[in-house]
Amino acid sequence: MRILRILSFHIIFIFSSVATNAQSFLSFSTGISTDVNQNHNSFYHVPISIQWKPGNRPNSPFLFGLDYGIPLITKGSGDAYTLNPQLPEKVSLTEDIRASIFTISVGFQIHLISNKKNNTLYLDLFPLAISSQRYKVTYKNYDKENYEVMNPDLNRKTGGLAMAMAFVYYFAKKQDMMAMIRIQSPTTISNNDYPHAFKSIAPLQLTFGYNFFYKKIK
Amino acid sequence: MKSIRSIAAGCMIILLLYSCGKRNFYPDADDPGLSILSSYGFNIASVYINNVAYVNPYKRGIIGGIVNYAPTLRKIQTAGAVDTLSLSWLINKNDNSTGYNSPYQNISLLIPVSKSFSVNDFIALSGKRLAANSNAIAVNSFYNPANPGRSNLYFIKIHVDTSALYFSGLFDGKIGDSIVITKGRFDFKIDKNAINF
Repeated sequence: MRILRILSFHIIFIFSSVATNAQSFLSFSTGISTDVNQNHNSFYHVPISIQWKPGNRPNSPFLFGLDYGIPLITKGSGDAYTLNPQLPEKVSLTEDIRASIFTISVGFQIHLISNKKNNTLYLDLFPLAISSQRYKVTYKNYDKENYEVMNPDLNRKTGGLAMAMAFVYYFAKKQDMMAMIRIQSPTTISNNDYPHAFKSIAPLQLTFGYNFFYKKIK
Repeated sequence: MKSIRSIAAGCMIILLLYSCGKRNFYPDADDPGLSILSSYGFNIASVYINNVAYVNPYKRGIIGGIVNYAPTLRKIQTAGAVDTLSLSWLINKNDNSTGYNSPYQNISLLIPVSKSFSVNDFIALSGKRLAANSNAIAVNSFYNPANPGRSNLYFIKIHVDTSALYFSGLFDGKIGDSIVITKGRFDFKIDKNAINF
């Protein structure tokens, strides 16, 4: 019962805090993103982030997000072996790994603080996100006919549910510029038990962009 | 309350046992039908025989899960100057047909070894690509084949822990003019008590 009371208090607090930004907007931002859920490799992306707040009523809190991470190539390595006595028995290979991620999320925006110039900090919470993720691995100069890579990194497609949150700062004269730090959890589904498999991507991204306000409260 | 706890504990144990066994077949994108070359003790081996993919079979556990059939590793004593180390395992076509329809049911790699060959000598083979065609290979005949062919064999990694031997490698071979064995790879784990040297 106590937990329920605390939970209901939090829900009331959240929905009483969302009324501040009443304008509908569409925002576009980009920057740099890194995956914080891998043990060995660091994956980087150029995120393209779109946020849409459709309602123009003061108490319309909902927010939709689309985030696509354009993969930057991460270098890896592997050893390959051959039975062919005419060839060196072992060669070291370099690999290119591209990790891309696409996420659709639904959430709401909470006003945190504003200053005298009306620059404002918001907390965006996305309790429901659907994320599709893909790893593509290419071994360079790999003689597939004669060599076999030991414990290779494997291509992987995965997806599932996730959660995300972001701190968004609206600034400039018309509040039309924005800076955002966003973090997303790994997905709930991870059905690959290969010990060398990449984990689900959890991007931490820093982006800058522009807000288009298209309905203003009179 | 106590009975609920007992039922929950029982369910957990069953789930745990069910999730114990795995097939550990990870498809090699470059060689359709074969598993990748690995070194985790997966007990998985795959090979092309006359360009048809074969893999070692598996069985289901008593209450679920999958257990890959392990190979046998034995030293066969001979009357000659050297003994024979035999590494044999069951194979099935890697498709949906039953094992009974497969023309080949097992494969054996036969390596000449000294009479005093021991586990330490076997571990010392780690990283060794054995001289080309110095070993024999056979299908459908455990231990003592009548007409073995010639094989290339590379033990890439061998290591041992307190209870088991882990070894992985590559092999190919040819038996007569009719059986061509290519792209073979294995990743085995054998209980130390199951070997006779």
